Amino acid sequence: MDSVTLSTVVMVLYYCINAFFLVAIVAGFFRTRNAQEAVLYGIMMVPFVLRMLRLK
Amino acid sequence: MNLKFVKIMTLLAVIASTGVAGKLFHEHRSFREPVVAGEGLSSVKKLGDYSKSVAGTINDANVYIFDSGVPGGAILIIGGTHAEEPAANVSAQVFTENLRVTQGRVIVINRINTSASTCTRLGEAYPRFFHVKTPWGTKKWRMGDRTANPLDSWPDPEVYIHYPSGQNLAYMDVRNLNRNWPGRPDGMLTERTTFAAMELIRAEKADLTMDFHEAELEYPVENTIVTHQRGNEVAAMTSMMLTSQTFDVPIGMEFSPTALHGLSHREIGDHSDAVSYLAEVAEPMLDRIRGITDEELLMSGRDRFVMKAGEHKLLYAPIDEKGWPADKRIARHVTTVMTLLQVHNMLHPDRAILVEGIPSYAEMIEKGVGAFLHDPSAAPKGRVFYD
Amino acid sequence: MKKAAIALLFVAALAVSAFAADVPKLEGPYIVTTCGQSPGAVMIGMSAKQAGVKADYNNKLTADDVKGDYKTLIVTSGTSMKGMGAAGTNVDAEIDRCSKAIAAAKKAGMTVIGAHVEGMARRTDSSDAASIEAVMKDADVVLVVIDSDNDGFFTKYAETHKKPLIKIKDALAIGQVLK
Repeated sequence: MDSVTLSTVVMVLYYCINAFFLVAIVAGFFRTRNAQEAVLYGIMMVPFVLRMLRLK
Repeated sequence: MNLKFVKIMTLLAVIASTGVAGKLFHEHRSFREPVVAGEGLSSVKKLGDYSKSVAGTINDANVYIFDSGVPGGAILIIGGTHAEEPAANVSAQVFTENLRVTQGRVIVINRINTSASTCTRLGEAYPRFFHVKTPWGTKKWRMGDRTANPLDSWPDPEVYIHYPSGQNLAYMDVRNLNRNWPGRPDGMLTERTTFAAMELIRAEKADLTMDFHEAELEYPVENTIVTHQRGNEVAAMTSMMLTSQTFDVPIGMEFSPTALHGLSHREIGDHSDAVSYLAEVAEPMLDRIRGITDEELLMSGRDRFVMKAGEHKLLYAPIDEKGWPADKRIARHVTTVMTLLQVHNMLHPDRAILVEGIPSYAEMIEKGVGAFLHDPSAAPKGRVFYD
Repeated sequence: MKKAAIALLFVAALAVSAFAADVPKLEGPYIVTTCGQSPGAVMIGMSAKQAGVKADYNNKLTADDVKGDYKTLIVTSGTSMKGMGAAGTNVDAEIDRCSKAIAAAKKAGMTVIGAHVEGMARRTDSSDAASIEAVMKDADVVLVVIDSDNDGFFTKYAETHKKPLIKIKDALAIGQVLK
């Protein structure tokens, strides 16, 4: 397997991991009963959303 | 406080901040830089025309060809290698917008690493854009990073192994165009970009290449021409003439180290018939000790912290309250190429390259570089291109 | 270009006359080398070529190469890390090589010129200082450009060591001085 294919595979896996964490954070946000945790989940969401949308 | 209310407010804040940040990032990444090609333009090709490996990618740059039709030599002028060094791509654009070639050919790439111009360096608070005042309004460019955007070339390896030398380099240098020459067709994005540029140099039989850069004043390779050994005499003469007759701050000359791989001044000369040159000019915004990092500093090159370092003799270039304005940095690069051509023509009259229409150093300093950039809205449609 | 050359000739003549009292007559052909692999020797070679003076440059000149018709050896001082990297050498090896070449030149009855022609950019670190000291201490004549002597270092050095000093506007004017 050449380096470009390998990099592409790693990148796809990376986006899958990113999506997994985003789902987990969103789920945590809706599940939590603690207001401070909800705000923290919110802040954490931002870079994951930007990454999924390939804006950053 | 009501939990539901907190969650709704948080979600609104997330949507708002993501929206604003996303819009800013998108605007930076998608902005197209207009170029009004000079009257002497013969054709515009794409880098992908020379190697399919880069065709259709973000780095499939415009290649502006000015062919006099009169036999002579050919030069490739490269701008935008490091997109955080804006004098480099604007200098190339001064050629693209004003050139008339009367003998030989001039080939210009304004933005060889377009990807790097679509993001700025993490944690450095660079401005997203920079502007130059012109008689017809303000012209705008993307300010970029030293390396290609990770959105286009990712992941980086643990250690970047340069091809073909096998030299080990830092991981992020796999996205640094000036560590990727001569490239390969099946490598990462910047390797494919330099490979296509090498194919261009070979196909167009370039005699010489010039790669524009800027450097921090704390860096010893400053205000100088770095040359492949086949260009020693031309570079020495160019440096002496410019220092003697034109520049207030001398321009030096350095030999390209034979064992340091990936750089244009080494690899282009080693892997083609072209003689490779690289020009450096001082850019205070790149200094680590700088103060507020904004467009004002980028364009004026004035910074009191860098000046203070100069007072303590910690710099390799002089700086005073006048700073290193972009006009001066660009004028130095443009004039360096013009003098380089003059010396090349003296030493290699059979491969002469004669050009007209390029402003002199004094004109660029007096009127500003903006005076030599043209209004895309007033230009004939066929002469407006986007980088 | 012609106008500039005439102007330079004038400036060079002025510069030489100002210090001519103690300067022995410089005679070619010249052989030029660099102590520190900076481009100084190439620059002198090119400037001499433009002035129609025979000056060969050899960045790796050894004592064995100091032979033939040469009347004067010019050694430029100030170092380049890129240059030394390119040549696979270091400042100590450079000083050793040039000291031997200077000794051979003196033995052959040649005049030795210690030069510094690339300005303050080649006077920044301890390698530059070591190269300058090694070259100047054995030189019969000191040749510098004005920018190299911004702080008066070479003027003071020449006075202290009673060596003739030739100070010229810039590297491009060197060829005229060697005529």
